[in-house]
Amino acid sequence: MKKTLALLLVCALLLGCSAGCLAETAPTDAAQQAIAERKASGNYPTVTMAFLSFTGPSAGAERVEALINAYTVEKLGIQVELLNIDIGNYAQQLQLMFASGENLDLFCAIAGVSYPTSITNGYTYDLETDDLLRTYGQGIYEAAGESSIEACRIAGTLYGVPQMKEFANGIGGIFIAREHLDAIGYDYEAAFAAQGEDALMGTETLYSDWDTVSDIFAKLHETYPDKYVFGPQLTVQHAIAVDQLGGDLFGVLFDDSTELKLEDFFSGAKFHDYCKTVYDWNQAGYISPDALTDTTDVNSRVAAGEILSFLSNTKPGQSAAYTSLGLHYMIFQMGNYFSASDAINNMPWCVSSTTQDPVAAMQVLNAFFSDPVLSNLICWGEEGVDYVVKADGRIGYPEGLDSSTVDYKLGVPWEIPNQFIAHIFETNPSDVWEQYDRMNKEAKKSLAAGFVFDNTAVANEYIALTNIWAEYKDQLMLGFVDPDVAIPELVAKLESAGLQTYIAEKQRQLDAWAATK
Amino acid sequence: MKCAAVNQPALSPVPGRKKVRWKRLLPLYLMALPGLAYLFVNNYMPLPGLVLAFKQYNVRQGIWGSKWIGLDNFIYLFATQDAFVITRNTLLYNLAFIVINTVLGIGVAILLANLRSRRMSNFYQAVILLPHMISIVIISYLVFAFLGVQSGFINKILLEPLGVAPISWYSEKRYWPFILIIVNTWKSLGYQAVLYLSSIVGIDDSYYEAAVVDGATTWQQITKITLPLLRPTILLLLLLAVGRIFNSDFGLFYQVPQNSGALFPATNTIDTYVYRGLIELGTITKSAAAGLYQSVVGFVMIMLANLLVRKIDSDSALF
Repeated sequence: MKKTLALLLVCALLLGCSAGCLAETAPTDAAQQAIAERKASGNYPTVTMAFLSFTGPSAGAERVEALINAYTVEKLGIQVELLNIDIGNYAQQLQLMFASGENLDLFCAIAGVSYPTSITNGYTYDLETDDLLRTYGQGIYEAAGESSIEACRIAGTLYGVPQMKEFANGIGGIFIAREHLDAIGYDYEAAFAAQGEDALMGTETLYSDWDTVSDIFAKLHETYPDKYVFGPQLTVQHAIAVDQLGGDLFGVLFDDSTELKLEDFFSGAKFHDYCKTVYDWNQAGYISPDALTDTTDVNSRVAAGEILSFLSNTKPGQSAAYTSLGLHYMIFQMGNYFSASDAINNMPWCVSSTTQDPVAAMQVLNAFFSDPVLSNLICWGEEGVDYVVKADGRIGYPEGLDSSTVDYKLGVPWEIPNQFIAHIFETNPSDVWEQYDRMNKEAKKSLAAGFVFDNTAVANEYIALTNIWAEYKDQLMLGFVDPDVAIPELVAKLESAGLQTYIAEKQRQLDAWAATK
Repeated sequence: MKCAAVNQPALSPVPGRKKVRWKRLLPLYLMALPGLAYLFVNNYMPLPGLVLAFKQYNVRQGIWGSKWIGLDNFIYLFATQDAFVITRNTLLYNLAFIVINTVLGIGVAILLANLRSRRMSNFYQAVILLPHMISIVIISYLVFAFLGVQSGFINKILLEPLGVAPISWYSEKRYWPFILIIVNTWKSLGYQAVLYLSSIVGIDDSYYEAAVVDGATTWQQITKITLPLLRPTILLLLLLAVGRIFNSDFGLFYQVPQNSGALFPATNTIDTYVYRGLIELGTITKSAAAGLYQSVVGFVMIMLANLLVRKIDSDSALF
């Protein structure tokens, strides 16, 4: 009886929701007409949609795809084929699909098929061909907003639309568990109280500095002599508020840059100071001597109790994600919230240039942006099987299942067009999207927001510079070499490999871009 | 197969009976057909794709419609300061591998062939062949089990009791030429030995029986019978290895050093350099250029080596 009632309630909810959304995003006549025509002909085109995940499709992927299909056939008269490709194969598989002309309609421009690469290689379709986006993508405009979409316009052409995710990150978050802080007698409650309740993410984040953390580390090291205190971070922009224009560190802006004048990252003070701090920590024995070769991800190392703290960039709800490890993490944040130039357009959704049916592709994309039923299906799977709705409206795994045993698991909701309209998972606060919104608004924006660098003309320099940086990166970022010795060496090599040529080309494009603003 | 054929009576062409010969050979051609078809599909059909090395590729214009840019895609292989290091590493490692694998491969094959017990010979063959079957990723972790700083076998079990300070193997580049050569030898020795062994097994026993009757020692049997009869096999395998002298075993140079930056001067080869440079660039034209460059140089090397072999011993040349 109870079950039936619950089911009815859920149905009512879903119906209400989809009805509500339909009312909100009344499709244009042309869109309705396209759907009606398809249904009349009984000929349902298939739209193939590619995205990456860390693990590839889970066991339940086919079941969920069938549910999505049943839904889109009924709503749009279109079948959807999901191509969930694991991160290691994503670039290669997509390149092969493009080269061989295989059927591909929608893809997320991410990783090896980044947005600039996709554009220079001709993978992308001009979304404004015959007013495609305006006519069939009304829901996308309503969800993402005009200005975010405009951030994807490259050299006058719109090739992609941004998914709904964070457009900024807290920089230099050092995650430490409250249990360990208790053990060394650090009074974080007092620090939270002193900070006030108004601060963004104020229940989990203390805005702090390197010295405070160094003192805490020293005590942790004393209290837990058999553990490593700190698991450092290889991703530079997690630690330093740097805007890697075009995705590389050769010519950058910082969060405090006041003009569009590129700086050399490697000879700057920020890089040196960070390397020096980590080097001191390494010398003090806080970092595992095997860190150079250990590619185990931070979660597993924390779960194994090997490291006590780690560095990452931050966003709302992030520290709570680690509670499944049995520890209550909080964040000591070194930097501000920063929105880099590519914060919005770093992994947009694009229509493939090889698509046979751009209208159908756009309508599917539009549906994923505006229809909670679809977004829930792709993000969380089938209700009652892969997740259950809890009392407060958030969702969790069904009784007896966890993240490793659940049948359908996507793992990358931030990549999906609109995670904001899907359920909130119980490890996140119920107001997580409001917090996202606040962070996006409060964050310092890069001066070059929306600029995309095309390095085709200096690709030879890029390859040489990348190889040199790869030689030094791990040692410096993990504190295995003295920055006073290694950085001058690195800079000298970069200079002779054409660093200035590369920066000059980037500056030229940046100036040209600024002139059009 | 190829090696065993050396000592079999050749299919002698008989004038005027071409038809009969064709009939006799037909089953052989039929047997070769699947292999040839595979070779054609896998190695010849993609050849037109080589034009990519000279193009600025754009999907919308297609492979043939894209813009020709001459040799621009090749510049990065030569223009940088690393070009010398990667070319040197690739060449020297391959030379070392060729010499060591050939000498040790023949040595082990002769030892195996002289074992009295068939059963033990098979056992040893299986054991030394095993590393050849193991994925390079697993090998890289086996190596790590030896070289780990904290709990690696060498630091923990060997150096610590001797009172020697632990060595940070993955940041000391001077050890790596030796480590890589040892790992490569361990990995490929078995396969080389089995190739040579199959030739040795094909040598007619009557040679050895005659030698024993004449009072030849085992050493004399090896130097006067086995090695001279192995010469065609040795030269064939050498020629094939020379053809790949500009290609490096990517797994060995990328996975085994755990991609540790400090080791690049000793571990960076053409393949790893291209991989690291292009992984984020996503331009297939530049990797096509690198592949073409390696193949062309390999082709030239194989022609030169073959010319040399033909001068010295025309019977053993490939063509």
